Amino acid sequence: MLEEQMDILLGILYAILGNDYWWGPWIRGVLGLCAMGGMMVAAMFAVWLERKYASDIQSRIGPNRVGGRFGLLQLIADAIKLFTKEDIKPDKVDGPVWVAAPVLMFGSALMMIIAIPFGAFIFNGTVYPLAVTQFDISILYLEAVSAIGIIGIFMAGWGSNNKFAVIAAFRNIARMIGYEVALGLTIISVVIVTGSLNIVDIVNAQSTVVWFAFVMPLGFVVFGVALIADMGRVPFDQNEAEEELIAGWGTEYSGMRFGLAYFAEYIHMVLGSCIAVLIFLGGWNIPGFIVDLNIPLLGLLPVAVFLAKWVLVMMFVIMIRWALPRIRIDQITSIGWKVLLPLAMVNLVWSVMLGLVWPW
Amino acid sequence: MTLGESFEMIVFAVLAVVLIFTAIMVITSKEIVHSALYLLGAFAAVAMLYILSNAAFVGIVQIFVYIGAIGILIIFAVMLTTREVGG
Repeated sequence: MLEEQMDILLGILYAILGNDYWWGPWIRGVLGLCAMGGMMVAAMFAVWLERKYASDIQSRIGPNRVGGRFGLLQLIADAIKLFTKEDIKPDKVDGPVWVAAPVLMFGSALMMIIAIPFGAFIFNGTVYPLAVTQFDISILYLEAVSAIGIIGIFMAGWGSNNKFAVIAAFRNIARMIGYEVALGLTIISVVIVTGSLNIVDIVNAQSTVVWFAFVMPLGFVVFGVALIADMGRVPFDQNEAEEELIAGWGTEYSGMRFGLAYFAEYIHMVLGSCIAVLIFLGGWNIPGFIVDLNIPLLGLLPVAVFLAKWVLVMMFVIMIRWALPRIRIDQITSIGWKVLLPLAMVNLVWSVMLGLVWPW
Repeated sequence: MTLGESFEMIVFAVLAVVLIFTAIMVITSKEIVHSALYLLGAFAAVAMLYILSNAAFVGIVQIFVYIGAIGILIIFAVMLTTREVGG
């Protein structure tokens, strides 16, 4: 019954969109727009979550005036404020570089969206990931695209023609060189064990056995530290340390230009949490329980599981931000090179040994 | 020529023009940081040309290695040079 309906639906789509209904570019475009809108909402939710959780940790109440008891509309008020502010362009900025920088940061965060599966539907034992596109090298793509955002931060720092901003850009690159190698090595360890660069295959590999967080705990810890550094959050936010550098690379930005960069940062955090859930925490899988029932609502369960894990990871990241002080720039570079990198190497050797016996 | 092929031709032409423009700007820019950024633009255009010719892996590795690693190193080195303030 249900399958007949699905067949009819797909047939209609096929008739409208010509050949190859699922991979048709129009469908992909619409899916991409949906994912983009969803990501905006998710980033706003992340901002709200951060404000509420931070005030909870600091024994405050937090936003509670706009939008009911929990201040749910505070973000819309903030967005309106950012949109209506005057667009101030300082005289001595490096024009095009300064203008392009927030766009590049935002664009790199948006480009990551298309490769991430935000959950999956499971019908008759087949996994249909809820991703805009699926391709064989999605995890490599995510790594490559997220590196573009670093260039955006450099352009913002350099183009501002401001000493603080340049120091921030310099710190950002010095720090990034330190942790990026360890981050890449831990991801490669997972790829070695699963034998695939496709993020969906990596999640599926965790459905039968256990999550990679338990199989390679060392790699998970290194990945977690490097990922928080990648998101640029406390304790690794040396590139915008308010007490030392005013606002780092964002010193000369105001209004919606600042808003774009700020939003890009939160999208980066949201997507980073997604990647951590997908690679190390089993994605949409529940340990010891495979959802393989032909009831449509239970087919939605994996999506709910994925979202729950994602919110938990985000809460953990937020908790770290409000619990730990910022470390110095020389400390993070030395942690990156002298601690994270050797540990990632050890994890790589472990994953090679593990790959020989995988799957058990 | 089908619709897909002509679309591909248009994309190729745009990418080729962008590539030639950025490559020329690399050597004619007055400021060295602009040269470095144009070089990254040229790398990106080359990567897109790879992806256009169905070599997605090579294209993404091009982004990964040339923009993510070599580009960052060039920028890092350029940043250590001096610059006239307010130029």
